[in-house]
This record gives sequence, C-alpha cells and structure tokens, in this order.
Amino acid sequence: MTKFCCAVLLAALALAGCDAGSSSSGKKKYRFALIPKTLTNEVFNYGKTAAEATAKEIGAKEGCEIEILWQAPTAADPAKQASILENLADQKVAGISV
Amino acid sequence: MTDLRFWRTREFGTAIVLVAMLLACEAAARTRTGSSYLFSDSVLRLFQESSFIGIAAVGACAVILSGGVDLSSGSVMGLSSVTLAVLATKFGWPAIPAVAGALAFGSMIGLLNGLLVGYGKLPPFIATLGFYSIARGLSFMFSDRRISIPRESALFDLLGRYSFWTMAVAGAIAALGLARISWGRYVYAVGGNEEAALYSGVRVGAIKTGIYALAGFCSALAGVSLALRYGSGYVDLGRGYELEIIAACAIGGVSFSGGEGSVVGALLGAITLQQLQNLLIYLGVPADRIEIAYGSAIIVAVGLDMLRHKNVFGRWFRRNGS
Repeated sequence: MTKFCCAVLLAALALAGCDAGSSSSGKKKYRFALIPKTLTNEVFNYGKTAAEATAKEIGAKEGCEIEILWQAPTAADPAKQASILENLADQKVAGISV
Repeated sequence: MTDLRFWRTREFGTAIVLVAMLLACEAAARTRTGSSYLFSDSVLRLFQESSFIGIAAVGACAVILSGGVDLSSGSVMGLSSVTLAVLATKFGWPAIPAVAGALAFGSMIGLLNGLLVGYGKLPPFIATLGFYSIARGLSFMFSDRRISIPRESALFDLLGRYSFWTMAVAGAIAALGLARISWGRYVYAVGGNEEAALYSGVRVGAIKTGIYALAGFCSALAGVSLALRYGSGYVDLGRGYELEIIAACAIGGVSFSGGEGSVVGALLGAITLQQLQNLLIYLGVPADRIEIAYGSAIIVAVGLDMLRHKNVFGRWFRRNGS
C-alpha cells in the first residue's frame, strides 16, 4: 500500500512537471476556450476548424501564440458544460466562447 | 474482519489518488497562473460539482452493497427535476410541498423497483432497466420542454447553492445507518450472502424494498439539487448519470459482488471522478482523451483493488500457515 501511494504521488508530480515544461516559449501566449454544447454535433466542428485557422492567422500577424482549447461534454448536458466553463475560467484563459 | 488500520481500508487508496490529483492541479495552477488552486474556491466547486453524482451515489452504494444495481437513477433524477418544475411553476405549489412532491415521486419509483426486486424476485438489472425507460417516459409526459424554476424561495436557493452540504448530510446519515443500526447490518448481510441472511431470519424482501426506495429518494434529491443549481427542470437531465453513479461507487471501492464497501468510499469516488475530469481539463487534454482516461480510471481502480485484495489473502495464508 505504501509503495502504491508513493507511486501515485510521484506520477502526479511527474504529470505536473510535464505541464510546467511544455508552456515555455518566447512568444506571448494566449489561450482561448471554446465550449460547444456537445462533441457529437458536426456543425460545431466547423467552428473548431475556423477558430484554429483564425488563431494561426492572428498569431502570425501579431507575433503571438494563440491556443484554442476545445472542451465539451460528449453528450449535451448543460450541467457538465457549466462545470467545464467554470474550470476554464479558473485557469484565467484569455477568453471563453460558449 | 474489521481492520481498524485506516491505511489498509479500500477508501484510503481512493483518498490518496484524490489528494495526488489535487496536488497536480495545484502545481499546474502555480506554474500557469501563479495562483493557488487549493486555496481558491476551486476545491469548494469540486465538491459542488461532484455533489449531484455523490448524493445519488449514497443510495446506489446501498443498492450495490446488497448485491444489486440501480440503472434507473439517472432517469429518476430527470423525473424529479421535471416534477419539481411542474409543481412549482404550473401548479404554483410553494417550495416545501413542491420539493417534497418531487422527492416522494422519486422514492415511489425506487419503492416499485424494490418491490419488483425484493418480492417479485426480478433481477435488479432488469427491474431497474425497466424503470430507466419508464421514469424517462413519465418525465416526457409531464413536460417535453425545459421549465425554468425561479429560485425565489429560500429553500430552492439553499438546495441549489449548497448541494455539497446535502451530500455531506445524506452521506453521514447513510453511513451511520449502515454502520450503527441493525438495518445497515442486514444490508451487508443480504449482499454478503443472501441465502444465509434469509435462513437467519432476515426479511430479505423488506430490506431490499427499503434499499431501492432509499436509492430512489437519493436520486430524486440529486435531481432536485441539480435542477435548482442550474435553475431548470427538463426531461434530459441526468441522462447517462446512472453509469457515472455506478462508476463512483466502483472507484470508491464498493464491491460489485455485494457486502463490501462504504458510503464514504462512494462519496470519495464521486469526488475523485470529478477531480479527474477537472485535472485533465486543467492540463489541456482534449475532450475525447478525457473520456478514455475516465474509462481507464474505472478499470484501473477496480483492478488495483482486486489485486490488493488477493495480496491480503496471500499474507493471511502465510501468517497462518497451511
């Protein structure tokens, strides 16, 4: 049990370490969150493609890096969507679109 | 076999994983925004968001302890939310009777489940699968639209805003009931060995009926809380939640062969599953992978628990010689 606990804690720290490593780049970075109603509605995928394209375009023009976070419940569920929204608001992303 | 060493309990493993994930979130928050995760209102929100699954898991835990399963819980959540909305808006009932009505309706569905399982000897899977559809159909009958519930009354506001307290109180009552009164012992007895319980004079049918009624009540309470939290009752509320509720119990170490586990474990399971999703969103993992991680977590958690169990038995044999 003690070994198991240590392993879990180490894994958590390793995970956090990876996260710290990945966010180091020279350019200014913005993160925008898009939260559609559900992942399974194809219409929303156009929104994702467009958002990513626009992010690249503006990023190249302004010399910054824009990341699009695409999160949604797998089936339409307002309660889960709200939970995701609050979670991303917590991360202080630059903008959120629902 | 009661082992009082808490680090040996099944709940402790879940608690460690939960703490590890909270620490990971803390580290991610510090590197990313420079602010703390644990000392913001995120943790409170974690409890808030997991409370709906948690409240229902209290009842589901009792059902699983008795060796059954409740597939109707998500549908009962939807039904109670619609009932509450219809009673409060269309019929203009005051808050307390409206909530009581919704809870009574949910409990009644649970009671019917219990009668079918306890006295009708139907397999729990089949009986509750039936009510999974029936409850959803009933909610459609009452209203096919989303009805917003104005949170004007104090009771509505309290239930919606402080559902983590509802979860804590429901959990505490059920935990005490299962551990301290004879009814709770009977629940474990029925789950551990139904035949033995029957021959020992336990009224298995009545116990089972009570358990499913309790599960119905808890699901209804979860549905009412969720509806009041987001301000509306609708047919689709709680769709698919029955599986998450069962998953919470599994992660919390409630054994599916019955007779082993605890309410505390089920609640920890509910919070852990929510925290897993929060952590993965926090780390920017795409939504589809989150679903995969979610499923893997269930298998890994139950698998580890079984391995640990085997180990315990192995040690017991070594100590006592053969």
